[in-house]
Amino acid sequence: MLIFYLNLIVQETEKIKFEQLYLKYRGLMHHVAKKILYDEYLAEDAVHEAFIRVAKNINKISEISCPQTKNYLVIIVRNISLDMIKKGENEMTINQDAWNNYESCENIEEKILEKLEVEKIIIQINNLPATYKDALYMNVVDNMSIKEIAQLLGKKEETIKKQIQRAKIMIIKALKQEVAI
Amino acid sequence: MDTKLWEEKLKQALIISQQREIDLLEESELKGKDAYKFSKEFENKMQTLIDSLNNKENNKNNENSNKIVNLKPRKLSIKKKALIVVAAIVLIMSMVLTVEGNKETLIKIIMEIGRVMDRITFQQEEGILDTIREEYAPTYIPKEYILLEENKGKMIFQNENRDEIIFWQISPRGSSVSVDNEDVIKKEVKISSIQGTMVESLDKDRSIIYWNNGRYLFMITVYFRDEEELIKIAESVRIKEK
Repeated sequence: MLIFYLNLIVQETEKIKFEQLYLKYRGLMHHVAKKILYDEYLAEDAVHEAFIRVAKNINKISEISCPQTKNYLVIIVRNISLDMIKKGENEMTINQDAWNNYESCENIEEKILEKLEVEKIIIQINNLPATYKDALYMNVVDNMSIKEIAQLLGKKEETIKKQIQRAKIMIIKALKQEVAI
Repeated sequence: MDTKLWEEKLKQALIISQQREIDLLEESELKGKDAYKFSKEFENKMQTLIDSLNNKENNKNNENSNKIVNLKPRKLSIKKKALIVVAAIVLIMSMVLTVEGNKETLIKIIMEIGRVMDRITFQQEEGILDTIREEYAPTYIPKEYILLEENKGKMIFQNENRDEIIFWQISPRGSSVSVDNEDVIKKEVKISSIQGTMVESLDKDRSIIYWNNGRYLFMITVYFRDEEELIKIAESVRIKEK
């Protein structure tokens, strides 16, 4: 019986955490969704869907008030909102040459790398489609696996893998061009 | 290529880029005239989601995903957990009921007092009352309200202003209900001769009353402040005629 109660408390802790997340971030999340969807009620649907995914991954969040948590929630709701407007449309196409040149793009020369300023990379990151940027962020900053990102964002693993690869290609290609100039 | 250096620069750039974006979002959110007021439908959906957090599916998912994205999780020691259990759980009622076939079933109604929510849980030793057998419904509802939605154990009434009265009949097995206990006034009330609890929000027009008859837990949420009217609705709850 004691184990039952202990289990209850652990669950209760997660429930309290979830409620605190909900109360703290629902406004910001709605704002993010509304900027994409231009509709208050559709934005509510996006926020609701986002919290369903958060509930399933509640153990991935341990601090309520920290930048990582905020980023995490914004990324989830933004992806859901974008999926809602892109439903039925094809994914953004990418220049096939760039895709074919993936290997060469990966091999960025050391001398170019040395010259690279973080600020220049930021500019290229900001030029990425939001979905690419989000997948890349979760992979590189949050150290999430392709599988975990796919599960959280409700996408196929192959899609996430390509988004991350393409994001890197786009950044590197743009940087190479810039440095060459 | 120095992959490590590249990854490090990329990571740094991603963090800065994301932080700037979030800052802009928060700034533009704050520029909005008022905080967005979520619809009642949304609030209800979220409450249902919060209530469902303890189900087995979620627990299973939680066990399967063990990678921590953020900071280290808080861990409670066994001793601490036990202390919290002792402090937080208050048995408010336990009773023996005679049910079909003269089989006795012990039903305990447990109230857990959390930091922001009270949670009321049914427990029973023998699985008998696992579904709603007799459906209850309020026989009095203020005249401006009409029945909008009815599912087993739940009725929603709505007026012209889209204010709702929500009635819940909750079956014992594995059920739990959460009620805000932050920024509220909570008091014991009598519903006919039965002891109940009324919870009124301090910051918004919302009141909740809940009680049990030993077989079911009942809860009514209204979006007005009129204690007498709410008790009147609660006292009118009867078994529905078939």
